[in-house]
Formats: sequence, C-alpha cells, structure tokens
Amino acid sequence: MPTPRKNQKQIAQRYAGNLRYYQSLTPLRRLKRVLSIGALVAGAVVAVLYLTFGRSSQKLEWLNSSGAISKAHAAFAQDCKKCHDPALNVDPLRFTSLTSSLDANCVRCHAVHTFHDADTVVGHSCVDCHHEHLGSGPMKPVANANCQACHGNADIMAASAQKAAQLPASDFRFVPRDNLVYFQPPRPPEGYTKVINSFSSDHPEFQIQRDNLTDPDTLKFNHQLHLTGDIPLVNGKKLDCAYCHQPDSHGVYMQPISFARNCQACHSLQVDPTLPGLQIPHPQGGAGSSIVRNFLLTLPSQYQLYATQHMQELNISTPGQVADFVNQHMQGIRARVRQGDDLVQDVFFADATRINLGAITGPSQRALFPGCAYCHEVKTMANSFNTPVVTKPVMPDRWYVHARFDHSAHKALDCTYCHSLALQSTSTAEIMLPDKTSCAECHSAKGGVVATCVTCHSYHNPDTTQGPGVAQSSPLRDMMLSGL
Amino acid sequence: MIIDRAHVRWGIFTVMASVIAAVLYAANTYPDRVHFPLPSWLGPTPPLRGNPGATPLGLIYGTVALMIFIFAALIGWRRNHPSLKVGRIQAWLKAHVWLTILTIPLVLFHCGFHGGGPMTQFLLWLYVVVMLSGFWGLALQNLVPKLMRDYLPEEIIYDEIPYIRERICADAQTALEELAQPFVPEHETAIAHAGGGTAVLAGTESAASLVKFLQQEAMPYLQTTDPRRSRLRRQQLSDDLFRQLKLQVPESRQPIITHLQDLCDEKRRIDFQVRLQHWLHYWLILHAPASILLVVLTLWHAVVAAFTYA
Repeated sequence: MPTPRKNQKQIAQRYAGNLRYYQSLTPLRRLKRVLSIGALVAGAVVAVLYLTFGRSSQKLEWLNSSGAISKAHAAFAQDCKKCHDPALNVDPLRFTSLTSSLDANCVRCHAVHTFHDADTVVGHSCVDCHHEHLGSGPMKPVANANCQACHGNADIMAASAQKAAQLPASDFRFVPRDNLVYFQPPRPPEGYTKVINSFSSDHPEFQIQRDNLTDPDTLKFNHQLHLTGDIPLVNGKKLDCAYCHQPDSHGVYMQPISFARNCQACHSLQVDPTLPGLQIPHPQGGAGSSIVRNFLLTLPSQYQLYATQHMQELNISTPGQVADFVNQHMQGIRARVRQGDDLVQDVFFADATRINLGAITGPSQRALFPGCAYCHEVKTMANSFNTPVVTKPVMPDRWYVHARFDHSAHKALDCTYCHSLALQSTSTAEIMLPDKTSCAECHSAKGGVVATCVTCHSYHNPDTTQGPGVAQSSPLRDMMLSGL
Repeated sequence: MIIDRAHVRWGIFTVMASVIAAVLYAANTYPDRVHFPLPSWLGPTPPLRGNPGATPLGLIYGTVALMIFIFAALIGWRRNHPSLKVGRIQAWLKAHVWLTILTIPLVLFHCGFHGGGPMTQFLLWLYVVVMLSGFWGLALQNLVPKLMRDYLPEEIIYDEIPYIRERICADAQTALEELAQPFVPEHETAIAHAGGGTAVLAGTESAASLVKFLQQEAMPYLQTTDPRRSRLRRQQLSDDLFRQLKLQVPESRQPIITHLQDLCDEKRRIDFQVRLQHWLHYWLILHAPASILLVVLTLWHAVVAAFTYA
C-alpha cells in the first residue's frame, strides 16, 4: 500500500481557499439532480394528463389493462366499460361490491347462466373461477382450489347437507333442455356433500357402482353373446363394439342405437320365411304396437299390396294371380294360427324359445322373426281384447347429469379397457360403465393424466327446463351474484 | 454502504418477512396444496380473477411495496439534510437496501408472476432496471472503497477536485515562470570555465526546450480532465521524463522540477480517484431518476387501479 506523501495538515491546506465547496454542485450531482427532477416532472405530467384526459379516451384505456383479454371476450377487448363499472360506483371498503359489479356485467350477456345445486351455502362471484386478463388464448380452466373451497371444507359440506334436507326433491331434479335421455339416479339423502380433496384419493365411487344401480331399459340385449358368442359374420366381419357404437359428429359421445342401423342386418322382421321383402314394421314412438297390430290384422291386404308391388319379380300379371298369391300365403299362416288375434298374440309374445338360436348360421335363418318379446318387454293391456303392447325401450343418451366424458380423448384405448364388463354382461340391466378405480388408473398423480374437478364436472348445472338458476330472480341467484 | 455484520439483523428480518409473505401468498393462491388457514379479512379463497394483486392480500403487498418505494426514494432527501433528527443516515441506508430487497417478493406476489398489461409491464421493467442498478451500485460500494483505501492514501474530498486541479495548475504556472529564466547547465558551465564562449547561449536553449516540454506536455496534462493522450499519465514514464529534466537544469533549480513532478503525481492520483468516484457514483445517474419515475408511475398505477374501474 503506498504511503501518503503529505501529512494531514498539508492536505488540509489544499482546501484552504475553498471551504464552502459543498454549496455548489459537482457536474455528477448536477446531472443526477436534473435527471431526477426531469423524471419526477415527466412522470407527474404524463400521469396527470392521463388521469385528466386519458380516462375518457377508449384508445388509452388499454394502457392500464391488467393483461390481454381471452379469445372468448376479444371482441370487446378495447371496451373496458363492457365489464368494469367506474370504481366510484362501488364501495371500495366492501370487497364483494367489486365482484358483484363485475358479476352483474357478466350475466348481462350470459343470461341463461345456470347455477350450482340448490343446497349451495356459499356464493361465488363469476370472477372467482373465471379469470380474465391472463392472455389472449382461451380462458384458463377453473382450478381445483375453486371447487375445494367448498367441497374440501367439512363445515360447508355439513351446512349444505343440512340445507338440502329442508329443500323439496324437485329442486334437485334436472331435466336438461337438450332433448337427450339422462340416467337419473336417485339423489342420496345426504346429497353429494362428502368432503373431497382429490379424485384419486377421496372422491367417492361413482353412484352407479356404489349403489349397484341398474339400467331400467326394458330392451333385452346380451352383450356377451354378441361379442363373444358364435355369431354369424356381418358383411364378412365379426361383430365388434364399433359396429353398433358409432361416435357422434364431435366424437365426444356415441350416437343413439337404432334398430334399422344396428340390428336389422341380422334381426330381420320377415313375417313370412318365403317372402324376404314382407316385413313387420318397426315404428318408433308410442304408437308402435298399434301399427304392428294393424299390420297383422290386415295381413291379406299386406300380401296383396306386396304382390302388386312385386308383380314382375313374382311373375304375376293378372288380379286373379294376385288373389291366388294372397290365398296361398294366407293358407300357410292359417296352418300355424287359427285366426288373426292368435297371430297377433303369436308375433308379440313369442320369444327366444321359439327358435333354435344355434341353427342361425346364415341369411336364410336370419329371416326367421322370432317375435317382439324376443327383444322387447311385451305387456297386455287391461281391456277385453287383451291387447298386447310393447314397452318402449328407453336407452339413456347420457349416464351422468353432472359429469361429462369425451370418447375422442380416449380413442387410443380399446373399448373393453374401460367397458370390460361388456364381455361378460348377459343382461341389459347391467350398466357397463367403468368404476372410479378404472378411471384413476390414468387420472391420478400416479397415472400422470390430468385429474382436475373440471375434467369431468362443471360448476354450472346443465341448462334445464326447471331447477335453480333459470329464473331471472331467485334467492340462489341473488346469493351467488352478491358474492356472499 | 458496506455490507458487514451490522446488517445481520436486517438480513434476518428481510428473509423472515419474505418467507411469511410467500406462505401467505401460497395459502391464498393454492389453498388446495398449502393448507394454511388465512384470516377471513384477507379475502375470499381462492383469489379473485387469477390476479392476486386484486385480492386483499395482494393489495397489502402492493401497498407495502409502494410505501417502501417512497421511503427508498427519500434517501436522497435524507442525505441532503443530514442534521434532521429522523434517524441516522446509516440506519436509513440499511433500511433502504434491505427493504427494497424485500420488495422483490412483495412485487412478485402482488403481480402473481404475471406482467399484466402495458402499464404494469412497463412498471415491472422499470423496477428491474432500478433493482439491477441498485445491486450494481451496492456491489461497487463494497468494492471501490477498498480499492481507494489501498491505492489512494491521499484521497481528497470529491467535491474539492475541481478546486484542487485549479490549485495544481496555478502552482505549476508559477514554477514554470521560475524555470523560464535563462540558466547555464552545470556541464556547460564547466566547459565555459575551461575557455568556451557559448555557455550562456547553450543554457538559454536548454531552458527554452525545458519550458517547451513543460508548456506542451506538463501543463496540458495538468489542465485536462481527459489525460488519456498524455505520456505523463503513466507513472513510470513520468518518472523517467522528470529524471532527464533534472539532468538539464542546475542543481539549484531541481527542486522546482521535483515540485512539478509532485504536481503531476498528484494530478495522476486525482485522475485515478475521479475514475473510481465515477464507478462509485455514476450508477446513481440511472438509479436515482429511474427510482423516482418508478415511484411516480406506481402511484399512478395505484390511483388508476383503485379509482378508475372496479
């Protein structure tokens, strides 16, 4: 370290003529001061100008946006007032007044917005779950935390169960407007108020499996027989799931099963083994049974009509030959049954016992129509004619009112991976949906596939023809929108 | 501001406050993962709008950060009023350093790790500039004074440097005038005594060349604030030059040359000190205005966020 060449006195003498040096600024300090004052003035001027003039300018409002608007609301991204009220109109000391101001603007567009179940005890603002200003893409999905704020809280769930006990059952009955058939399981006495923290850990077993619920459909169908039995080839191929279960246009759900599309290729309605073209009608709707009865009771006319329409094919050219054709076939029928009513009873109530299933090996055997009761439930009306009636099958289009499923997201899997019961099921009553364990194999931390609440559920109930949320004013709606 | 053991308490406070802020933030933002009961007045759970800054907890973070910004900006005012009884300047400096470090988690938790819109993004970048320049300044404040202590034993008051430079120039001018008078170099004097007749003329030429060197090299070096082109800025070269000069003047005048050499040495030390002082203080040219702008614009942000739209 160099040693000083001068002592302190000599050094001090250097300053002797300039002891008031601190009263003047060095260039460095002067520059710093000028820049600081400049920054202060510039910032203040810009702020004051904005607060004075910019607030009324829509073009400048974006400056103070807290982030880009999502794709869903991009159309009015530049119009802050569409969602936000002037702050002076709300009480800044009451936090919920801010959210209810936003909520009121949300429901101005989302008018048919539906709410949660009627036993909800804590209201949530729209913006609690639906977060805006987080980027120009789609809005972020609702976080688990939003659901767990209530469903993970034992006190709230207990209060909810208590509230549910005082509400009429009709408050929980949802009839969606989409004209689809929903499987409606009975609501448990305590409702759906079990504390849930995650799907894989403590989410209860699905109600269908937990309560061993059965499909109320009266149609008789044996999945095991169709998938594993000795069924003749159809169009040269063995039957598989996809022959009947075809995805809808979105690929999300399956199209409804149709007799004409999915059954008739094998299950002919041919009433006369010698006439493939003469088939019993298979009408849809409630009048189906009477149409079939009328067909059978007017069978001579049906033969006549058939002969008239197929004269060339049947090598018939005169009315007399048509009459002969009708008589010939009617005699064949009369050899089996005494009169028309007996034929009706025979056709409606005959079932699998009438034919030898093992003998069906090709198209000619398929032509044998066993009878309505082979597939349908047939009852007798309580009248003097003992009129038979086929119970209309009701196949649910959706098995869960409050959950959704996307088949397209699972198309990499084989059908039987989830619906393994189909290979063993012999009765329509068996519901072949996968249980929770099956889903949690993948939808869990271990499985690595997303398992958030909104993967399957929505806070909002489906758009219903009744139930809470539809009315423009209801206690539930008021509670929700006040954010209390 | 040297960071030493005296800062331990502040360091512990900052770390603890950051941890508490982080726990509260996590409990407020991720209640499904962090099971820490928050008081109800901290607002609804989970946070609104995916924007923690709008929640009561986020507003608290933002407000505290703004107050720290204002306090930190007042450090300049405090240093210009050293006699005020509002705490020691050293205490203010410690608080300035550590509280502004505390604003890092507060700001991040307030904005929820999102840049937000144009205004908040600008604020965030401005904050980054302020903090980086601050950390750079803090590092220099810990390094440069040690260099000055080691290499500048005769450090002078920075504000006095222009005055001292003037003094050096004035002293050098006086010495130059003394040297300008003709003289006879000692070896030529010996020749004259032996019978030569040109000694006075030769002495005049030596004095002229000496003055020429001093006027063209020494004086410009002493007067300039940018000595990069001068040979005298190098200690070794300067010593050699002055050693040669001393050989050209009679012994009676050598003290004047030595005095001039001392002046050049002092000028060199001053130049070195100026360079170090620039390192020590020039970051403030960015840090101070940026900090003030940050305070003003953050106030604007607060006013707009609170009073423009709900």
